[in-house]
Amino acid sequence: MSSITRRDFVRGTAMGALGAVLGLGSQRPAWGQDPASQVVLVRRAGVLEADDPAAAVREMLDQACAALARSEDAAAYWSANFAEDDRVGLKANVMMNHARPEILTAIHDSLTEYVGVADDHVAAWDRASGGVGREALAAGEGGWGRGELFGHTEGSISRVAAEWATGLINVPSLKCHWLSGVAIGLKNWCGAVTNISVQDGPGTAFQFHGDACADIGMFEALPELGGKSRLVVVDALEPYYELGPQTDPEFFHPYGALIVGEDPVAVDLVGTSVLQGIRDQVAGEPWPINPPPKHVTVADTKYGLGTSDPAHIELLTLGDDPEVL
Amino acid sequence: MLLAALLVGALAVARPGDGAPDTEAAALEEVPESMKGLEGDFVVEDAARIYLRSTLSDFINGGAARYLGYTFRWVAVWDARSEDRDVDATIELYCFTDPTDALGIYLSGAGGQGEELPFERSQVRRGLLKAQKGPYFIRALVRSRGAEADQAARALGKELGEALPEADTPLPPVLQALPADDRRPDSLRYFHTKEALDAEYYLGDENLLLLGKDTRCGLAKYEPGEEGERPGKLVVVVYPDRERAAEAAERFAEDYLAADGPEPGGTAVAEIEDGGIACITLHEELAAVTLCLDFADSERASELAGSALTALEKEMAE
Repeated sequence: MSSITRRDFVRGTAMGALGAVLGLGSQRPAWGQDPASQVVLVRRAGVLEADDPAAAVREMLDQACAALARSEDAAAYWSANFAEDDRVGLKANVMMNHARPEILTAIHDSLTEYVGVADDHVAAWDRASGGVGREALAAGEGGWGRGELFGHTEGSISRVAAEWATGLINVPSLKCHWLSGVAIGLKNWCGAVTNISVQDGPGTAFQFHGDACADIGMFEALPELGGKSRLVVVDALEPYYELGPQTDPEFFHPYGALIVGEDPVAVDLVGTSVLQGIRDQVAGEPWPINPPPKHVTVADTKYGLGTSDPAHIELLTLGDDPEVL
Repeated sequence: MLLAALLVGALAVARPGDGAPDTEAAALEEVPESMKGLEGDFVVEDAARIYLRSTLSDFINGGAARYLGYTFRWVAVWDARSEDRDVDATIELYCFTDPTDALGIYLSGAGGQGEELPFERSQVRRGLLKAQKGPYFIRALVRSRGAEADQAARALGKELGEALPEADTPLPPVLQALPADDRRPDSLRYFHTKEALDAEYYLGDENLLLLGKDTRCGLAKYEPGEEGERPGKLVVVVYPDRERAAEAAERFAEDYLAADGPEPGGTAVAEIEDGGIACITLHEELAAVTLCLDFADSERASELAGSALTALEKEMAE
């Protein structure tokens, strides 16, 4: 890759529309002029304070999936994309801000109720810990355990993904990240492999930390991970908009949304746009995400995993005003 | 020449990794005895979990890179509980070879003198205590909500601060040099590497400023002259030698500003496509540069850069 500077983002000559999404240039992203992928953003402000947050989240997921299926009925989406005998792995996230149990159970219930997938054919995990069935998913990571299913193959990939699951759903949380700019769906697969190190030393199975993790799309490109993934459901209920690397309760924003789509690159681009909007809104002035999350564009241009061009993304916004978009 | 000699002497300090313990047992020996077993409001019962430079990413994943860019030695982690308050907490005690690096980590996410707690600097927000005292950076999270969480975090902070030895860690010269007028509160940053600068202000893929673990960087933001303008950023970088400073100034000028490299004491400047002014100034004698970014006018940028270099001369001479 040739050398890129901030000025290239400002001019709009580097990384496609990423500079516009980050507000670095004078142009702003124009969504959906020639759509090839759909991303749904469903927002319900105050969902975390609802009397029954789990029920509210389930309704939001239903809305999003119905929209993806161009149907009034969420069941149409699920039955078209999953089968009764599927074993479905939910790649959750336990680092920085956790994907909430309410989202995991909403996905579980959609699979079991709309498709007929067996309770013990739905598992959630991150790194070397996980749980099988609704009870474990509802308990969150505190109720998970280790064990052979959540170990890793000789190729350093989570066994639950590589050997057990017939289909995967990527369930990241929405956050900024010190090293990669943002950490959403593409980066969430880092917890589905082992033998990695931030120092990318000799002998590590996957080396991706250089150049702001630009090559992180390598995980989505793996047949055992992205190859089995059918849907991305981003927990944007309370995004983390500062860079970390460790969380500070001050920097969670009660946004109250889910971002749902089948194109992992498009979902990450929309998530990046939401995070950028939250940062600008909170700061009261432009507060670009640093470093630019180049991995989102590289996942498109190098790995061909989806589209990072807003013009090719139909952004369907449902529920309350998305505000920061 | 005297200034240059002083500067070289001042930089003969530990680099990241130098002499850091390579076993958990060795690190545990460095944990202050007074920290091993709090017995006040909060009680720690189990032994500390220790993470070294080589294992820190097991604890905080990619976040480890930020600490490894400083002279991080180890972190000790405890679970603590206050029965009276009925709350649990996690305590992380990070140790650095260079106390200034503990300050650098503190400044990256907290600000000001903050709380009246027995640290050099401390802050409590939503149950999270961040504090610095000598070579130690503390991060302690009380798992509770509301005002009770902050009260508990302050109580825990009092215990922890009293358990650590007294210390005095002045701001390093690259921070002292940053003019105080119009400087945004809590915008001071101190770091060494390109990755750390990227997290504050991304300049490009390449390491245009030739930053590394042996460079010292101070950054601050300045209030814009008019509403709607972006805050200006002023960066001071001190290098281990004069040649590298000159090379960095030339490289940044040519590759970013599309201008000729500055002569000693000179400035290269350019108007960026977003309307902001960027410039780099090479000190006449010191191995140091200043960088101005996002300023609305070049006069103000060069004024601040000049003030910073003058102050740096004074700080280094002292």
